[in-house]
Parts: sequence; structure tokens; C-alpha cells
Amino acid sequence: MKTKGINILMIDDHPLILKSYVDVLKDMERASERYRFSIDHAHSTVEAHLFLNMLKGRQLHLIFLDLGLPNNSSYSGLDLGGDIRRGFPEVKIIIITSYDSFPLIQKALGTVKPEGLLIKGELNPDSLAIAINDVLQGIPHYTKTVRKYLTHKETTPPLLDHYDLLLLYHLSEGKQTKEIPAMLHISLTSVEKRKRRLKEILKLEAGCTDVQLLNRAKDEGLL
Amino acid sequence: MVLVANTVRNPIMKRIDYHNCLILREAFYNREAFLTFVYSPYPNIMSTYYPSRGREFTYAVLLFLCIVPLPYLAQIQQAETDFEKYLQQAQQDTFSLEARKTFLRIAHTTQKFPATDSITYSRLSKIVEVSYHLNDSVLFHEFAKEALTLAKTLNNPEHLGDAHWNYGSYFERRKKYDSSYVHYNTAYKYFVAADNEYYAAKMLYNMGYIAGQTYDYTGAEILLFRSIKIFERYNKQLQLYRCYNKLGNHADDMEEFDKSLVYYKKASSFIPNLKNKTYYQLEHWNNMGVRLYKMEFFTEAIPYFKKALAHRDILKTKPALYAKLLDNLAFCQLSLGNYENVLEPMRYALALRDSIGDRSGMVTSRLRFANYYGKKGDTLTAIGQAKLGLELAKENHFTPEVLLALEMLGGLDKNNAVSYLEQYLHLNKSLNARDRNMRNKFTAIQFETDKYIAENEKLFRQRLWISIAAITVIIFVLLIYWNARQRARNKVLLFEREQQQYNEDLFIMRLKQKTNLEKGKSEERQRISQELHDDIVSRLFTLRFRWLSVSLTGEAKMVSLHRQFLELLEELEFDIRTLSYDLKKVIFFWEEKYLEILERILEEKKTIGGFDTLFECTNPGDWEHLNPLAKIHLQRIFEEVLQNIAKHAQAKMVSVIMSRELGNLELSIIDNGKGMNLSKIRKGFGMKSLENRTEKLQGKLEMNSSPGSGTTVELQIPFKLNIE
Repeated sequence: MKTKGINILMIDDHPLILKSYVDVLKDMERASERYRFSIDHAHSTVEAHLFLNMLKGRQLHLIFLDLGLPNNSSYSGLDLGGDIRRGFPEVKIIIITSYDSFPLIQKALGTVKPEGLLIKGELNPDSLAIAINDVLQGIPHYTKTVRKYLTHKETTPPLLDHYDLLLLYHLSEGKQTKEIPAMLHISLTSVEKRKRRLKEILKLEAGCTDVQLLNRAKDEGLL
Repeated sequence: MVLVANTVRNPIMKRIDYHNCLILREAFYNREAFLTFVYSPYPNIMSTYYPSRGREFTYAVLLFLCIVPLPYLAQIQQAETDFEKYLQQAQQDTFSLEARKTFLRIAHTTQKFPATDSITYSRLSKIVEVSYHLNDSVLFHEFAKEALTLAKTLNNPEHLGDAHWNYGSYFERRKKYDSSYVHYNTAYKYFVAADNEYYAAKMLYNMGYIAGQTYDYTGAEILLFRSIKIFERYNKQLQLYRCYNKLGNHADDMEEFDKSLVYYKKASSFIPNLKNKTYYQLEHWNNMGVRLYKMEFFTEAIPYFKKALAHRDILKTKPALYAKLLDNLAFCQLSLGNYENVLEPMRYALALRDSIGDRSGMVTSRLRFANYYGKKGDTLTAIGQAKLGLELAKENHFTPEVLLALEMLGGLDKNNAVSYLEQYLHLNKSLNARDRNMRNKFTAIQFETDKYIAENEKLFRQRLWISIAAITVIIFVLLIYWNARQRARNKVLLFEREQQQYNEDLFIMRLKQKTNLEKGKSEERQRISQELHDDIVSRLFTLRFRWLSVSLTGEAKMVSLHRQFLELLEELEFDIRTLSYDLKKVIFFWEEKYLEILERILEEKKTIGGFDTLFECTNPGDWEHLNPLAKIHLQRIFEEVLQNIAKHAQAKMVSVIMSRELGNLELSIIDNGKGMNLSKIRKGFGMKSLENRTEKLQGKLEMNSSPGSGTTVELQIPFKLNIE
């Protein structure tokens, strides 16, 4: 069996984690002759961009992407993922994140369309190796929470759009209503309007509190 | 005789010069009076008889007025009738003089004179009037003094004027001209003070008459013209006739015949309007005749006297005028040299004059007899008649007649001519001196009067100014007081408003602080959560992940234990992540809800006002979303209205309904208390505060109430404008 050279870019801000990933890959190399991994690291979105710009025709096969990257601007791991997906459609992306909230997963699935989506808490070296194998063979691999969300997706009321879910997410994150316009780039009046509509859809009284709204949204699986 | 006549005229001319000075003085001290006086360029001359005065007429009217209502009052007031009866009897010529005096005394005793009122005074004045006609100076003085005292007690200027008028008349009859002038002048002052211009003018006329009697013709002219001015204003025809007649007499006496003609014509123009016009016409003709014979136009004078004498029926009731006409006609005829049919009328005239006690007429008659006999050549009889006339004139102090008699005697009695002429000159000199004295006195009195009147006016003006100033000062002080009070009140209001503003600011500040605190807390939790998640969990994950990569050899039991520990680690990792999420989960800080605050206020007022309450809110969320300032305004309005209900309404039930109508939030507070009349409510501080706050909320406040049917307060505020 011919050994296949695989170029990998791993993006995470924790060097130790990167090291663990490398360990897993080295184990895989030792276990079989199928893959030979060439690994590069990036600790931030800026480093990642720099690396990608310097590829100059060199084929990149796989990217490990952490969503919770330190970001000094509003440019997040999610945005980076989206850009990579557009700039390198061939490259396979595995998102490894510690966030397991539904809207974020949904958004990641929507914008990055990753081949693998792994939640750190559900990960161990063996399952990571399996996931890498799956992805390199062209089989999408998601950990069980993500898979659960995938089934959830059907129950999401069709009336809710991306912004509604993000609004609920941010509210659940403890953000105040007046902070949200800056994050979603929509006006305060439209935030209010959306909240009112959400309450209507979730069959809540118009005068109910945000806590009630969030509890209901959680019950409905929107969070 | 011509020579003597010249010596008589010269002093007169001197007097005229002297009087020009007086006019200037008068003009200087009393400019107003002078301006009303129309000065005629003709110098005046003297006249003797015309004892007509306006008094009797007025009293006749007064008496008439008293007599007419008499029958109606008779039964009620016996004393009245007694008084009137005796007074009338005292006035009847048919009784003897003594009897009439007795009647008057009885009339006097019917009145309780200690009583001091105007009616009593007017009766007393009537008694004085009658006593004046009875020619008894003791009686007159007794009553006149009483009248004056009463007038002084009453302190009524009109009565005082009347009392002095009585004295003036009395002294005038007694020919005590200076005393009379003083009393008339005093009366004039009082009448001016009493604002009775008509009587004041009568006093001026009387003073003018007296001035004429003392040959002060210029003074007389001034006084008469002043009275004319007033009489014209009141349209008093008889008085005007008399004034002009008097002016004519004076002009005659000063031998200013052109001027006298003008005055007589003016006087005659009033005759057609007079009541007793035929009599005045005859008098006028007599005056015209006298004027002509004084000009020595005897032929022209005779027709006037003859024309007048044709009215014998009237003349029978006027013996004085009749005698005058007869005598004057005879004199004219005599002067023309007609000695026949002259003596008889002259004798008749003397008899008439004697019968009515016309002393001055009798003197004239005697002198005319002397003239007649002198011309007839019967010097002895002539001297006898002239001496009789002289004695009578001296007896009665008829100075001009004394002079005339002396002059005649000087011509007739050749033996004693020098002695008579000496007497004449001596008397003339003393007469001049007396007249001058009197005139000076009159001028001084006149001046005093004018000064008095001017002073009175000044005093009145002063008082007026003082009152105006006082009122102005009072108004000014009131305005200052009012202004100060208003300012103090405004200050209190301003202070209260500031206090309130301060409270509100404090409240908002506290609210902000609380929010900031909560925000800080939230941020801190966020940070801890982030730290847990991003760092601790990551490190745990890395540790576990790498630990799993470590291949273990050894006892199977040990390996299994190892794996068990690693699973525990994974569990720990999961728990910490969950904890991080929970920390991050919205920590909505608990805050007292706005509606709860309102409900608490309602509860408080409920215990104060002792009413039941109903609290309903259809849209609590909207109210919660109001901005803090709007919440404060609303809360204060709510408090104020409920406070008023608790204090005044005596309500059994208060309902609070909060709702939303389209873009407006509505708050209705309804009570079933006693209500009020809204139009009568004074806008106090509370009401103003309500309006003020409603305005700040850009809302509308409506109050509906009527006595007995409770009060409804409705507040509407636009939601969008008051949101957070």
C-alpha cells in the first residue's frame, strides 16, 4: 500500500493541544504506512492567513481549526473557516472546538461546511484518529453532540432565521439587548422587533421577560 | 350856585382817580375776579334812592312754601300751626306794631330753640326776618344773636351766611354801612364755602349797593358786575334788572349820562320777563325822567313822568314811587318857569311821603318847597322850608341832602350865607374823609375775603394732593407687599422643584450605579467562565488527551484503575465546562419590578384612605420598559393622584387600570368618592406638578369629576417616546 503524503495545518492557540494532536498523528503514522503527515502550526487567525498566503502552489490536504481563537478584531475562527472554505475548496477541514452550543454548531456547519466537527469534551486520541481517518477517506465525521444537533435541525421552526438564533444565543450568553446591535450589525429597533416576534412564535406573552424567553427557547431546542 | 356845584364835582373826580388805583389793586390781588369784571371806560356818578333788595322776594317764597303744606301737617303738629299762625299775624299791617311784636314773641316761644337742627334754624331765621321789618332793634338783636349762635352750633356755612345776611340788612337800614358791609361780606364768604353761588351773588349786589351809598362807584361797579356774571348764569331776570338799574343810577350820579342810558336800556330789556312788569316799567320811566332833568332837559323829562302818572291804579299801591313821580314832574315844570298847578302835587307828594315814613323823600320835598318859594320870591318861607329839610336830613344823617340844604340856605339867607357855606365846606370835607375811610375799609375787607377764598382753594387743592399722594403711596406699598409675597411663594415653589429634581437625579444615579454594579458582576462572571472554559478546560483536555496516548503496561487491574481515573478526569472536564456555561448564562439581575413598586404605593394609600383597591395591568412588559425618568414621573403622578384621593375623596373603592392602546400607554385611576367641581378647584402645587410631569412625558392628562359622582383621572403617554 502506497504511503500518501498529507499536508496538514493545525490552527489552535494552545501549543499543548497542538502537541497532543501531533502525538495522535505520529501514532497513526506508526500504526500504518498509509499516511505520511507533514504538519504546520498556526496559533492565531493572523498566523493562519500568513501561512496560507505562503503556500505557493503546495497542496494542503487537511486543516484542524479551533473556533475559540483569540481575536483582537471581530474576525473569529468561524470567519477564518469560511474564508478557507472559499479560498481552498479542496482542502478538508476538521473543526475541533470546545463550544457545543447549538447556534454556533449550526453556524459552523452552515458557513464552513467542515468535513469533521469534533467537540473537545467528547474527544480522545482514539476517536480523533478515527475521525481523521474518516475525513481523509472522504467520510464526514461528527461527534455525538453534533450528530444530535443534526437531528434537531428538523424541529427548528422554519420562521426563525440565522439572526434570530444568534440573537437568542447572545442573550443566553448574558449580553444585554443594547449590546446586540453591535454584534449582529442590525439596529436596536430590529432587535426589539425580532424579540417580539420570537415571543409570538414561542407563544409567550408580549410582556414576558427575557429569562422566560430563553427558558422557552431552550425547551424548544433552539439553544 | 354854579360855583358851589363845581366844588362838589371836583372831589368826585378826585375819587375817580383814586379808584383807578383801587381797580389796579383789586386786579393784582384777585386776578380771577378782575377778569370777570367788564370795565367800562365811562366814569360814574352818584345816585341816592333805590332801596330795592332781593330779600323779601325769597322770604315770600319760603313763607309760601311753608304755608302751602300747612293744612296737611296741622293735625300732626300743633306747634307748627301755632308758629305759622303767630308769625303770619306778626306780619299783618292791620295789627298795631306792639301787637305784632307780641305775636312774634309768641311765635318764638312755640319753638323749642335749644333744639339744634336745620328746620329750627330756618324758623328762627323767619322770626329774625319779621323782627327786622318791625323796626325794633332790641327785638332784632335778641333773635339775630340767637340765630347766629344756632348757626355756629350747627356749623353750617349756609346758615351762618343767612345769619350774617340778617345783620347786614339790619345795619344797612340803620345806615351803618361799614358794619353792614362787613356782615354782607362775611355772609358772602359763607355762601361761597356752601357753594351757594346765587346767594353769594346777592351778597355781592348788597355790597355793591352799600359801596354806591358811600360814593364808591368804581367799587360798586366791580361788585355789581361780579354779581351780574353769576345772575346771568342762573338767568335771574329781576336781579339782573336791579343790577343794571343800580349801575344806571350810579352813572347818573356821576353825570355819565351816556353810560347811564346804556345801563337803563339794558335794565329795561329784562322788564318784559318780570312778574310785576308794569311797576318796573313805571320805575324805569321815572329813572329816565330823572336822568333827563339831571341833564337839565326838563321839557324832554316831563313826558316820561306824565306817561308814568297815567297808571294811577298801580301807583296807589306804590305810594313811594307815586310821590317821586309827582314831585319830579312838579320840579321839572317849576324849572321851566311854570309856577301854576305845581304846589298841589308837591304837597300831595309830601303828604304821601309823610304817611309812609319816607324820610329821605320828605327832605327832598322840603327842599323842593324851598326852591319853589325861593323862585316865587317868598324868601322867608323858602328859608323856613330849607331849614326844616336841613334838620330832617341832619336827624337822619342824609348827608347829601344836608349839603344840598346848606347850599340852598347859603343862596337864600344872604345874612347867614357865609356861615352856611362854611358849614357846607366843613361837612363836605369830613364827608370826604369818612367816605375815603370807608372805602379803604371795604377794599381791605374785599381783599381779605379774596385772600380767604384763595386760601380755601389752596387748602382744598393741598388736601386733594395729599389724598392723591396717600392713595398712591398705599397702592405702591400694597404692590410691593404683593410682589414680595409672590416672590416668596415662587421661591418656595422653586425650592420644592429643585428638591424634587435633586431626588430624581439621585434616584437615577442610584439606578445607574446598580446597573453598573450588576454589569460589573456579570462581566466578572463572564471572565471567570471564559477563563474556566478557554484555559482550565483546555488544559484539562490536553492533559487527558495526552495521558490517553501514553501506552500502559502492567497489571490489568492497575490499567483498569488508570482508565477509570482518566474517565473521572473527563467527567471533571465536562463538569467544569458545564459550570463555565452556567456562569456565562445570562444572569439577569433581579430588580424590583416597576408594577410591584406601583402596587406597593397603592397598598400604602389604601391603608391611609381606607378604601378597597383593584389593580389591573394588561401589558406589564411595556410598563417595565419605560425609561427610568419616565418611570419616576409616572410614579409621582400615580402617588399624587392617590394621595389626593386618600386625603379628600372619601372613596370606598379605587381602581387602577393600566393598558396599552396602539402606541399609547394608558393609566386610569377611578374612585367612587365625593368628587368635586373642577372649575372651582384652585390650581395648587399638586395640580401644577401633575401637569408638569405629564408635559415631560409628552402625554395627556384628563380629569373628569362632578360633585357626588367620583373622580376619574386618565393619563395617556406615547410609548415610543418614553422607552429605554
